[in-house]
Amino acid sequence: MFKKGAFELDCTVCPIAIKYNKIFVDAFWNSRKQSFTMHLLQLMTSWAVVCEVWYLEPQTIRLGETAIEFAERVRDMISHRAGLKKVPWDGYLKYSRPSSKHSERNSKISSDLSWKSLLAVAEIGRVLVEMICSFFVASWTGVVRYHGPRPSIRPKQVYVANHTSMIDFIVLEQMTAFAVIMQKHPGWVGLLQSTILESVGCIWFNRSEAKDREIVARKLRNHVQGTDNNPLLIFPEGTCVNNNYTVMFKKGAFELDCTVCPIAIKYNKIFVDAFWNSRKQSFTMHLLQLMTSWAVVCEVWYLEPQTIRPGETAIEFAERVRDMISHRAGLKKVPWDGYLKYSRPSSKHSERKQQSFAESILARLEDK
Amino acid sequence: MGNTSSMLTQYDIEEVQSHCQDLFEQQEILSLYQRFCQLDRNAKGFISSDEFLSVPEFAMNPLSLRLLKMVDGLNFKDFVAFLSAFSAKASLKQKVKLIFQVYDSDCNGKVSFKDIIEVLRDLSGSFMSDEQREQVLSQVLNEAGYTNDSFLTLEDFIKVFGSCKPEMDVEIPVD
Repeated sequence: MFKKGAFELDCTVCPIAIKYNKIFVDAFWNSRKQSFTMHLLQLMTSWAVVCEVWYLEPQTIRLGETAIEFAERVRDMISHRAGLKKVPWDGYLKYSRPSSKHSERNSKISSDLSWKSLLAVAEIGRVLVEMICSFFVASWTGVVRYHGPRPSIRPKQVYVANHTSMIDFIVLEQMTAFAVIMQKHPGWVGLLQSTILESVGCIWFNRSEAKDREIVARKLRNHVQGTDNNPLLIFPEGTCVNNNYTVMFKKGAFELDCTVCPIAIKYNKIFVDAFWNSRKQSFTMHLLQLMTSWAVVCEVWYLEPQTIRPGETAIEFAERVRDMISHRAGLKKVPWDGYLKYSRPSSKHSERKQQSFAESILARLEDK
Repeated sequence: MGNTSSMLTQYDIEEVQSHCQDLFEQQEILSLYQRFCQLDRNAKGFISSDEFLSVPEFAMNPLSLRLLKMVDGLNFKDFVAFLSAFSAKASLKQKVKLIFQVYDSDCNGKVSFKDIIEVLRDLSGSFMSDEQREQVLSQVLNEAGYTNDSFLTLEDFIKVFGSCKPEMDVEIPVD
């Protein structure tokens, strides 16, 4: 609860929201646990203090609004912006035991339960932090946090993830040796792909070749049915997307008659924008940019394996999995075709709109 | 690029907000600015036609060339003012005014039979013949109490819409 003092001063209140990224350090100074000196020492010896600050729209007290209501309104804004949950507790209860009037007022809140769940979350947090990938290539100092059960190798399953950059593959590959389907790139990257990646089992495709699709579909099917092959990782968007959105999933991965295990990846943009805009820079330049940036920070969620439901089409299945991935990683869904990155929409798109317009007008004409 | 642009100050945002008659919230203006900077690749201060056409949904719109003429070369402040007709808070008059400007291709404040036929041609393409278009338009004008020789003004457009606001609301994603 906000103390109302700040809201009774007869001025504009400019809210600021601050959110620390706990991957690096828990910036909360628990004054009951450690002195400020110790707290400062802990911050200085941690790897980094990472936080986001939002300057929000200045607010004035509305007519008929009390200072307490004003305070609550501003607290709403700050909590919403920084993703903090609002609780109706008095901060000063940290310093003194509640007087009897509190337990009478708060009989609804089972404070015991809330403390237990807080501790459980902290425990999970610690275990996850321990799993930070230390063998991520030193050149781009990666800090990755993995959530969810590690993939178990089973036949008839395929993994799908949203796609931001070629390093998605590396981030995921470090945890599980996936086989992958990729577009062959020119230059030294292509060389790397042919030599190193062949060992895990790769399927090549070519976006520009129309007939390629059937051949690739057959290769995918063969790979998944085979028992000795590494689990297959597919990026159904078909192209790199800027990690704010997901574009339409191509249905190929969802027609293979197997369990689909979704993986969601979200990069923290404070450090570097991991999105590789292949139209703007070559992969070499992109890699250089990543290496000279301070760190690549991302979170990976392994989600619950899904199978196609009876009566569900491959496209509906793909959309359902896209929902799960977008929701988990906080990405907005858009109904665009990722391949439109490579070519302007053909005239057939606007022609389709013209056709539906013309048809509705002509239908109205005939009615008269 | 792809990173968030340099920060706008509170003054900047208020200036843009008053220029668009407060039809957008400050957070919405911030989101619009981020998007504007993403589209304006070499930080020229305006978005070129080519950059507009790189937005697939825009390129697929049969009216894209007409809209381009209206937004080409606008700086951010004027661009937001142009978009304000799409705010849910915009009045019927503000929305209809934009529609009127789309039809009034020669910008003379009057919309003639020929003007409307040209827009209809963009909207229907090869799926309607010229005769069908003229037939539809004559019928529509007649029903509204006008003739093929009438010149429609903004007031006429507003009258035709009556009290039903055109569905032209856009929700701006706030980060």
